[in-house]
Amino acid sequence: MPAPTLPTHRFFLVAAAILAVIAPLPCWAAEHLSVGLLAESNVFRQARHYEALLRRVEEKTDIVLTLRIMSNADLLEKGLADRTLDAAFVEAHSVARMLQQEIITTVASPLYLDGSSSSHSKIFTLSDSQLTTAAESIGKPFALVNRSSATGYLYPLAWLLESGITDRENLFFTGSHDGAIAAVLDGTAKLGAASSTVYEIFFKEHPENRKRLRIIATSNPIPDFTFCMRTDLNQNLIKTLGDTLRSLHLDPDNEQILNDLNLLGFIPANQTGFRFVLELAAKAGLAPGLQPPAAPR
Amino acid sequence: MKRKIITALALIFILFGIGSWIAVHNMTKTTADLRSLIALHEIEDIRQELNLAAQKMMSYANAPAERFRNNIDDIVRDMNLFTGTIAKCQTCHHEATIQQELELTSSMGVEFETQFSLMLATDQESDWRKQNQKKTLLLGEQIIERVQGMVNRAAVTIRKQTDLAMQQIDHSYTVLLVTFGVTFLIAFFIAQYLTHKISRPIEALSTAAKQITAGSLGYQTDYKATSDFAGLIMAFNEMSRSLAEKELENKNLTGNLQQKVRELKMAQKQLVEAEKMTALGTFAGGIAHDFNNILCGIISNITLLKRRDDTSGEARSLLETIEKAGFRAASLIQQLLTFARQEVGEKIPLSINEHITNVLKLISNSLPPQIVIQMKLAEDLPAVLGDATRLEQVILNLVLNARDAMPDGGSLTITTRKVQLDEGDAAANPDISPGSYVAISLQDTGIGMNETVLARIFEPFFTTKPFGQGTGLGLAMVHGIIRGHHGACTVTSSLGHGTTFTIHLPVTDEKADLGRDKENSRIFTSGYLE
Repeated sequence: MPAPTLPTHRFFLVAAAILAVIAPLPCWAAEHLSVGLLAESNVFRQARHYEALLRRVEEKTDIVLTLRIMSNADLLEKGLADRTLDAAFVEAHSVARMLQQEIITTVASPLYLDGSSSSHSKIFTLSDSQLTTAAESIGKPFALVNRSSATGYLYPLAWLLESGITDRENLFFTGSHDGAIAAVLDGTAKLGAASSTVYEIFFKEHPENRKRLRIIATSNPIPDFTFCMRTDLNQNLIKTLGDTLRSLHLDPDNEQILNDLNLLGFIPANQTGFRFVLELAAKAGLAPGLQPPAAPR
Repeated sequence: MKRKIITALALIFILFGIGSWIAVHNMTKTTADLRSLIALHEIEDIRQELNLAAQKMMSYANAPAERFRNNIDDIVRDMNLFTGTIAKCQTCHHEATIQQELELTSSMGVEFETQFSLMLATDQESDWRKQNQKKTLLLGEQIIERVQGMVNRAAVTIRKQTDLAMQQIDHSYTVLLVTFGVTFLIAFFIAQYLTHKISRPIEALSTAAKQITAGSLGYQTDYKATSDFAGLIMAFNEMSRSLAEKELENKNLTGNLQQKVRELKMAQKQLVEAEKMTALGTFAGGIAHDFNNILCGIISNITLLKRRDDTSGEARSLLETIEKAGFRAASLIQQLLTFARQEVGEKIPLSINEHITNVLKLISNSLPPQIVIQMKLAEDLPAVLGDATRLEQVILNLVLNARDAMPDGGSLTITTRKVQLDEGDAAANPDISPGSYVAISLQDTGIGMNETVLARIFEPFFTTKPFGQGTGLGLAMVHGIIRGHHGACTVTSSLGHGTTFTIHLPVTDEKADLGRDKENSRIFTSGYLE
């Protein structure tokens, strides 16, 4: 009598059936993503608004999103590089640099309330200041944003360098665009540089101070913060999040969330704008090798 | 009583209602105050939370820049807690002054947040950071000071409200206790009063009912009720009195009924007697009439025989003897007819006393000396309408009967009086009609008669005398004569004590005619009386 054999064919049939059931499920079904954010204005308000945004995206995608506030651009970039962060709202300069390293891919860009999807860098001083040119700023305290900002860092550097000013002794980082504006307003700095987007928002909230500043230089359009994801993540995941962000404006329930962010919505990211950022970095005297400038005061 | 009970219950209800209302009012107010107090405590918790959050944020603000690099998420979370607590505070208060203060605190919080954000955005030590740190700390201290001030003021308010709430609770307890106490006392006294007012009359009524049940109809309770029971007790006494009266009435009716029954029995007896006498009269009358005719023929022929010349002396003697016997028989027949036909002669108004006296004068010598005759004749006796001869014959017969009933002597009392007989008397004796009568009683102290003799005393030929000493027609003739006068003759007797004959003769309005009276008065002294 022959020995009984295992019904292997049945085993495979059952396994195939199970796979047939679970295969259609998204592979990121239980995905947890950490999303980094670098402060560009009031960090607490920003955190609240972005937290609301992520919760809404979470509802629509079943992807668990955790917001992580980064104290500086280096930590943000490092987090994406060592995969402690999966995605981030990133300033243009950081985007440009990480795109070069193929650490990230751009997923969605903001569409501002005025219909634009980019900002300008504004260099400003007090209205009663006699400053009108970069040359006159020599020796004057100059408030910048941070190293990852194209509008708050690259353009002012380029503007100074264009006038032959290489002295960076009087430059200092405020860490945020509204910090740079505040520093000029309270007299800590004689000049400041910030994103036109934040600038408008700031004076929308403090209209009494608008006339106290005078713009002395404005850049060409520069991509603003952009939602980026690590390139090594599942492409479906990247697509899902991108599609979700880009379709938020279609749902009236999301209007308040977007309004709090001063956005109409998100649009597909245009990576070509970041070439200009790299060019701007070059004009600012920053080598393509991502060398940071000397530490400001 | 019903009104008193309702009033008492209403009083209790009102008192309890007032007390309860005051207590409930106090409790409601206290509860509202307590809720307010709890709300204040909750607000106080929020203030403490705010104070704690502010202190925490201050500790962050005091920390060096390096410390922020890796825990900025915690700072963001705590700042959100801080600002959220301020927002929560604003939703709690509605008083204008506090609201204003909170709005100020809120704006300071916004400024603190902005300032903190400026400081936080710089993660490296710099003048800018120090400058913002200084501003942040100053703002933080101001906020803490303000919050602490609010906490202190709130603590005072809470303490005051707590004291007030405790006082209100104590007051509520006091009101409740007083209400319960007063209501209980009043209810107790009212219950005592009502119990007294209800139980006493009930006990009195119960006692009276027992007395009546025991047979004391007419028992009257002397309890003096002042409430609704007064009417009840009065009605009860009235009922008892009515029962007693009804009982007395029933007794009288029963007595009357018994009397009527006796009278009816007597009437029946009299009627039977009368019917018997009537039947005997009819029977005797018929026989007497026929015998009378026969005797007439016998005596006539004897008379004729005696007149004949050829009748010898011896024969004549025999005829005389036969004739005497015939006359004696005729006399008997005449007495029998008198009984049967109740025949009387001409009736004239006469004084019965006079005729009684005449009869007694006539026979006084023939009465033995052992017999004492007493005369009790009414002086103003009215006249009766009658046949004097027959009436004297009646009296003579009765006197002689009395003499015979008293062989050893005795007394004979003859009484006359005027009487008024009513329906009852008439019902007892069928020979009597209601009206005025002269009653003649002859009462002897003789041997008397038993019931059997008494029942047959007026029957013709009934006699208790030895054979040959009496015909038994005397009293029958008396009965017939009296009935012929529309009167009645009754007899009562007690064996060994004597007999009383009573004759009732109707009174006439006419005066006695003494001349004719004497003329018509004659006594058959021979052949009639036995």
